[in-house]
Amino acid sequence: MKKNPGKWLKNFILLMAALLAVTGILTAVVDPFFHYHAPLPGLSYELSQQRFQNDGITRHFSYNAVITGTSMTENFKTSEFDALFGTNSIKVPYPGATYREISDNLDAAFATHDDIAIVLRCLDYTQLVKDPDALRTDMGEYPEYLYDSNPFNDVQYLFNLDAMFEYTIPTLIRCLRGEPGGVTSFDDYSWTGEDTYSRDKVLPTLLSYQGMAKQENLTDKERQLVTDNITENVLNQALANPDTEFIIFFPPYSIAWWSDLAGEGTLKKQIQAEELAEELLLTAPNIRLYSFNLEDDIICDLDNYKDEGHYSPAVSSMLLQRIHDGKDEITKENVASYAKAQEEKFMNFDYAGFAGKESGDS
Amino acid sequence: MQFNSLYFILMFLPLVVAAHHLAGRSSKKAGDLLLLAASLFFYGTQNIWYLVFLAASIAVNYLLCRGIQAQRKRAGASDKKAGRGLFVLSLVCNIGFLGYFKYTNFLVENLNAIWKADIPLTSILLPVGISFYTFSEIAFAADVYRGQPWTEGISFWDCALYAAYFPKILQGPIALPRDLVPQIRDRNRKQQDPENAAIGLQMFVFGLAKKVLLADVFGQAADWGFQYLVLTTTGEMLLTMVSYTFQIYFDFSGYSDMAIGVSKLLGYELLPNFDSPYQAVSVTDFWRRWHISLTTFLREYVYFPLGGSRRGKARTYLNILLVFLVSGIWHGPNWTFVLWGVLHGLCQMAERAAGKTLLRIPTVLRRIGTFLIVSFLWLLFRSADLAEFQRVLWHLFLDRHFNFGADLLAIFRLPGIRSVLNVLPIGISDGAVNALSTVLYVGFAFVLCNAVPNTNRRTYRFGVGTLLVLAVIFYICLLSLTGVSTFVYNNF
Repeated sequence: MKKNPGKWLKNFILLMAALLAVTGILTAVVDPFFHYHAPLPGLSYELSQQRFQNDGITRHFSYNAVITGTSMTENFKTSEFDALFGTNSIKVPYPGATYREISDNLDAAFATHDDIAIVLRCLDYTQLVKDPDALRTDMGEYPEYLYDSNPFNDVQYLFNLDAMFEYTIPTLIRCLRGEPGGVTSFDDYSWTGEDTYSRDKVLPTLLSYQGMAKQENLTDKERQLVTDNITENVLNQALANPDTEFIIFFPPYSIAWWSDLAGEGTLKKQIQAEELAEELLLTAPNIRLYSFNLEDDIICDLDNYKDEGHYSPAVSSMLLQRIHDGKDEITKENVASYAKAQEEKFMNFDYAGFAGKESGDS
Repeated sequence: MQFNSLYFILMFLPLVVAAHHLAGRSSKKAGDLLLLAASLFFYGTQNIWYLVFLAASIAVNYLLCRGIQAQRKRAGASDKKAGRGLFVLSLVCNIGFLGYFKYTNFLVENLNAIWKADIPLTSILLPVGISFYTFSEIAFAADVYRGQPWTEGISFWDCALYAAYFPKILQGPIALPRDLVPQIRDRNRKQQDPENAAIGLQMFVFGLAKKVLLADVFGQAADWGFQYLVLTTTGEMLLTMVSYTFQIYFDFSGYSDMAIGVSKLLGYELLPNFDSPYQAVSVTDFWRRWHISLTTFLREYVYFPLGGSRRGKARTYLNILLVFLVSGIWHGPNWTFVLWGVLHGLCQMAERAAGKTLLRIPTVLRRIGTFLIVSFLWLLFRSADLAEFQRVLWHLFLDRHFNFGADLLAIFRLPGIRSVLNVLPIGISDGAVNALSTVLYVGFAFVLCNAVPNTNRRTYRFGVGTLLVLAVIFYICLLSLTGVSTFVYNNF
């Protein structure tokens, strides 16, 4: 039989249209990234791709508290938080994020939920002295199509190989196997997985300490960056939502991180930046502020860490308890004395002696 | 908007093909005007300023060409040099236009290096595709000056469509006026040919598969090799070289296949741009098969006007060298491109000098030798600068270790291969799985380049089997255009 190219062409187009329609409809209905709706009852969803799923979680889940920040919040357990504070919380960490990216996500939360009682947010030291509009563009291709309201670029979600075969299809298979519906617990929504925490991972940094360098002060330009960054990305949001309690903390990086700053000459500058940020934040009546750098049981116990900054789940639980108990709170009354105490501690700390002792013990 | 994007494949292309088909029913001119509007829109999505520059280039070239034609008409057929002044002016404008956007900073950097000056660099927007459409304009002006019949009385709109025609504007092929202009001007040309459209669609799918499934993977390996250059072993550098060789071929020829395929869907023919270049038996033969439209342009508009091979041996060699110097410069503002072009020119001079002696070498050895020379020179092409190429040379020839890093081999890991190998009764490590995948990937690329007819020579079929296979390939390619990427960050 003679082949008919015209008919072949039509059949090809129809077949492709059918394949794409099935793919798009399946992805839209199952919606593994919650771009269109909350999880469907009866389907078991896996939470594992933070930048792809956080926006959907923020917009479509039901909650009255948010735990957010960088990877410093990965190990927080929402079950512990809810038990302590009587909330129903979600956790939406953005590893490596700037203050702007986290602020944008919280904007989405406030735009879609008008009963958020508490926001627990960390402010990383490494993102403090930054342009307020800075965003991380060095980590990978950002799924802008999941964060905007442009329906046309949704094709990148609906016809997405990974979304279809790594998320949509497995979700349907779990349903066909009879697995109960639901969502991965936020307690387990973390990229840290089976990481181990021990001094061996942190000691090399401490042992590389070469001595206290000449310390720089915060420049006027840097003061302005801190002011703009804190004001635009943290303070204004708190002031705009006076019925929400903002619990803000500086994550307790290890003593090894501070030894790096001491050796680079930026330690004093970092403490000045933190003090400036705290003064600004304390102008909002609904912000409660915490910093744990004077707690040697945390920052000087190197077994708490898997690198210079990331602390263990046990430390995360400890921080929640301390916040609940009102310990390590920074107030208008103690902000200056706290900064002075930090400076005295870190400027006079015997990093080399401590490193020697730790390496002898390990 | 690129060919390999969901916007283009699912929105722009179907709309334009359908609208062109409908408009063409009333008249070919209506269809062509719609095609021009679509082309300008397509180009404008790159950057609105690029569109402004393109429009200016089209307008200036058209005015100058009309001026040349008017002068030739006044002077009569006997005066072959009538219009020469305006033709030279058009060359100056086009080369100056290209030179300003593409080579200003290169010139400044070299002046600073030579004279130890401190002339500041400028931040100039480089319009994408400028090298391609400027050469098209130069070819057109030359044809006008030569009084070629396809240029007589051409309208502004036909001229604009020739220059802006979207299937070829970003990365070619460089459509010569004698090939495309008569098609545009033929008002009786049948635009809708189902067989040609079906072939075009198949070519588009093959081109997309080359880009998405092959070029992008080989590209990751090539990028790895250059990113970790200081650590690469000789083995890894060899794999990097082969990877870049295949990346550039599948990427560029894949794009050309898509361009030719899209053009067929619109009822126009663009000439083949690649003809199995890695089957070449000499560097000269390679250039008959690689980027054919550029080679054709250089031959007709640079080599022949310089005298070609008609002015003695020494002048022929010089002309070959000049042509490839121009080719090198055209490829980019970097001494690596210039040296690459010159070395290709020198190879061809040597082949010409050797004459028939080379034919005594068995064909298979000539093919292997040519492949190695071309691949080696691709490393120069890929290097950021001559200093980096020096480091490449060291790692390629002097390191002399042949182990391969796990990260490099992991790039080639085939989806599902672990599941297939788990059926075997022997335990296979992850490293072995990746090594096997690499061998299969590279082996497949060699077979595709050497044993399978290319998209311009293959026989196209319209059976059920072809339908299903192509649908699966197209489906995988479309869904591969976006994925869920892992966010890698090294600083918290």
